[in-house]
Amino acid sequence: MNTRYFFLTLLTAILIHFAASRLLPGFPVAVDVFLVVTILNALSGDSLTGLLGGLICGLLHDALSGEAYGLHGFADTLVGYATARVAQRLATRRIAGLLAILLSAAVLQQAVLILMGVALNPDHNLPEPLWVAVRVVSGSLLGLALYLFTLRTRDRMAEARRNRRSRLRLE
Amino acid sequence: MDERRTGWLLIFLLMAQLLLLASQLPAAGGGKSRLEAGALRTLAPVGRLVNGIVGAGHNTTEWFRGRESLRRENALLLEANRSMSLELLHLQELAGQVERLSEAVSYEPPDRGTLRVADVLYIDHASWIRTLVVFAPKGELMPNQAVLTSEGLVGRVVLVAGDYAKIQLITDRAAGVGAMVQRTRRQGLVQGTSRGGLQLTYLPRQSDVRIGDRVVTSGIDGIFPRGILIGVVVSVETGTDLFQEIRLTSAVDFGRLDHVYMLSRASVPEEVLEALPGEQ
Repeated sequence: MNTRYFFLTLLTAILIHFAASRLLPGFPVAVDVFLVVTILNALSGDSLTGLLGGLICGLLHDALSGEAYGLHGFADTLVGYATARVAQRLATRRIAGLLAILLSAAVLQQAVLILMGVALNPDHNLPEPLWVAVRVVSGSLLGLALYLFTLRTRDRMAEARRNRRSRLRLE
Repeated sequence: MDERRTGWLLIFLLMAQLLLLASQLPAAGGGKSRLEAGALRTLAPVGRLVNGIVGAGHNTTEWFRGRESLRRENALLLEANRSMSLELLHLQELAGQVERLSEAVSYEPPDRGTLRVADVLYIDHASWIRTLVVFAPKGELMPNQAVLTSEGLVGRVVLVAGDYAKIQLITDRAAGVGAMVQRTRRQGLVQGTSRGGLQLTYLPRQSDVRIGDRVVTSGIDGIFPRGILIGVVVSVETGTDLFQEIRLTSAVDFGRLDHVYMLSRASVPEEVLEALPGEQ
């Protein structure tokens, strides 16, 4: 994902986050759109892009959250970097492999958030396991759907471009 | 950049964020960073834009729903207005009496402050409603300002970024409000619980508290003026130690806030705060 696409995706995610929290209050509890953007950005396989994308997404998420500032920043930076490193080694075009990466990334984020929350404040509210699971699954599935959609769209555009070129040659 | 350098950058960024997190611990002063204010200043205008669009859509839908519901609502509001006008007359009479009595004993009531309306841009549902982001143009926002609605107390300002502010709700576990039971004037401390509830603490076992008692601010914390409704007692249990375990239901439905009032009033003088036990 190049820089322009990253910021466009992030802006879309922010708009969805604001609109959804107004219309469906349960949406932000169930879906972390900032995590989805972090993962989609990191799936390119470039670890620098992954960690910087995670840092930006996490710190923006922190500005709206009631948690300590930097908690999501820390978790998403780690998730962005780890996802990019894994994506370098695994085939991200296979759905099973892709889903495994996405699930691991979402689990890692939730684990870091809980551990850091407890480390900073022993009285920290532990999230309900059900909502943690919902967040992990929703983030992974949404990420998978969006990534596959992006890949298909890119493939179709490339094919259309090839067809146009071959037609031009024939003419 | 090669992988090794990226690894070092990762370590540097993680350490920097750990320092940022550590600087917010209560032992370290618990301050809010400029970085957070900058991020809020960047995001909040987007929230305002989305709110405007969603609000306009909602208004259009309401307009199409017809006039019948509006007529019914208008009749109800007129009735409410009539009874409130009567109550106002009664209260004005009482206020006059209090004023005359206060003059007689040279008592000066505390400054009530002024209220300014602020639009709610964002409610943090993800962490069990602990913060709000509000927009108050030229609202002279400042940290520790009390925030309330006509129903009761909402919280206090913890971060100001231009015309935007982040509000810590009273349901946050880190929040504490000096409170008292309105019926008996017994004072305690209202704190947030997990899952967005409220509890009244430091009330001895022998103190008289009943289900249905109204709990209001006591005004002893220097942030919230006395007499603002916080909530109603829903359960009273004998605690394991010297105090009772009292649960409250908040007077305000935080999930449905559109507007809040920011209270501006003279703050407690620095010298007084410094003289408090535990303050340095």
